[in-house]
Amino acid sequence: MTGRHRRSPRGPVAAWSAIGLVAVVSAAALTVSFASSPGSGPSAGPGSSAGQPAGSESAGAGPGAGAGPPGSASPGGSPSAVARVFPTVLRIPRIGVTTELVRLGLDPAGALAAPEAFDRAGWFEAGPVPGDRGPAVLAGHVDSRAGPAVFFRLKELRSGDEVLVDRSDGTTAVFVVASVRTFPKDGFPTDEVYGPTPAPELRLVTCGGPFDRAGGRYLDNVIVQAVPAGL
Amino acid sequence: MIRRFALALLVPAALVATSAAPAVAAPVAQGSGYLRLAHLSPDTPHVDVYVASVADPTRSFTAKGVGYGALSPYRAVQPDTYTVAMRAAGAGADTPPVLSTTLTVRPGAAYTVAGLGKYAELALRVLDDDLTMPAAGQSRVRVVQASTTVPRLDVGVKGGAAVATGVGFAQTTGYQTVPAGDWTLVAGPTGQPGTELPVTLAATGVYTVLLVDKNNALAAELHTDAIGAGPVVPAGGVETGLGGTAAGTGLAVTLVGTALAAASAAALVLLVGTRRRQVRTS
Repeated sequence: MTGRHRRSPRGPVAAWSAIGLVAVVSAAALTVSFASSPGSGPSAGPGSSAGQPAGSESAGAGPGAGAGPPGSASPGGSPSAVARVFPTVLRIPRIGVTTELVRLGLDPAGALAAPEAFDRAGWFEAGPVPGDRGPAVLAGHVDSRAGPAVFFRLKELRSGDEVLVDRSDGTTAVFVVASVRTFPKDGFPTDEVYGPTPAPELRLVTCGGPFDRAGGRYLDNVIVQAVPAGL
Repeated sequence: MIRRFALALLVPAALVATSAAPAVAAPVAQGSGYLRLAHLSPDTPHVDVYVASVADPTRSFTAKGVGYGALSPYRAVQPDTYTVAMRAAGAGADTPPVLSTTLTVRPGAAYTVAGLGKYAELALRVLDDDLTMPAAGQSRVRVVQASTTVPRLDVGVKGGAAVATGVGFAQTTGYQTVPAGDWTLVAGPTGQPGTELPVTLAATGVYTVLLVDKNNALAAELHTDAIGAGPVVPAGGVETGLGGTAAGTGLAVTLVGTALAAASAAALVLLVGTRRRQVRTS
């Protein structure tokens, strides 16, 4: 079960790409066919460099998969294909946001930890990279004790507004806002925010709703869902 | 063929009926849906696939020259009702389609429209691609069987559980839960050696194993239908505010409350005073 995988571009996909079924990380299937060699013609797609999620995160359940796969001799693949891309800067022109992105993990209670800085948004590092398939999640404060923070104007976003994320591989993932909704934190829509998506999507999360002064916290989360631009 | 043409004629009639409703064309929807197309009929020549929106023709698109074994990437589409029509590659757009079907796309949902079966029984099938979150540490896998090499075959994890058993040509299975991790999938006739496919299944991942004929042999491909944010999904909401801009709370509430109380007290005093005066003067 050492599982060295070949990532083989599939022939038929090339034909489809010609008709503009784009903006989605291609199905870049892992193909093994005893009868034929892999086809040619990698299908292009924005952010397709890291086709699989969390290459080195062993997902817990995989026996013997604990270590990452550095240096795997993937035939035809670039040797550094396992170097993980990360998002660097978030830009939301409509509300004047330009912020470097910090990396976010989980707090001891298992919730997504907010950025320490109030003027920066953060990226949920264990999830997909913005522009890769799946829901990439970015969170930022709406305010500090003193005043507005990086996502203060997030709830002003409307359907169609552009959201751009620069990535460490030099590409920019471009999204458009599909929805802006407010949910009570005790009814947080975990599956909608973190659940599987067929394409690269983006979630922006901040606080909203009433402020519970006794608890020192907002009771709601404002959640922006964005989808690949170019529908 | 007669049956097919009858179907093709019925569909446009249905469309005319429904398109009388006013077309509401939101510029960008409150969440798109996703659609991909597949040609999985081994003896059917290349086709052109026309996807046409009922409400808004600008949402229509065409995939030309699609051959057996092709599974397109997903395309984001606005929630709407679409017709999907297959014509022989190169046939005019105004010619009767070989096959067509309709599909209503819901926001946040994903669909695979596949031409399945041999040409003589070719059908367009709409598969619902399951985007619900797999249980913690699990992935989900289904089988789409478009290979004619084996009458019925099993798909399973090598040395582990079965994903599907006895799957015949042109059949599709529901999604089965498989623990996330690195595995070798095996597809072949029951009890016999089969095609092996090393895979990495991510927690929160949803996959389709596509079985096709390649050079007269069985070939297995793993396609990622969808991926979530994991492997460990954060619990609950996010604490992203300390209240410095909160309106209608804290100090503001106190001030408003005080002002209201003062105002009502003053009104009471005035009222009482007035009554007293009235009593005196009457």
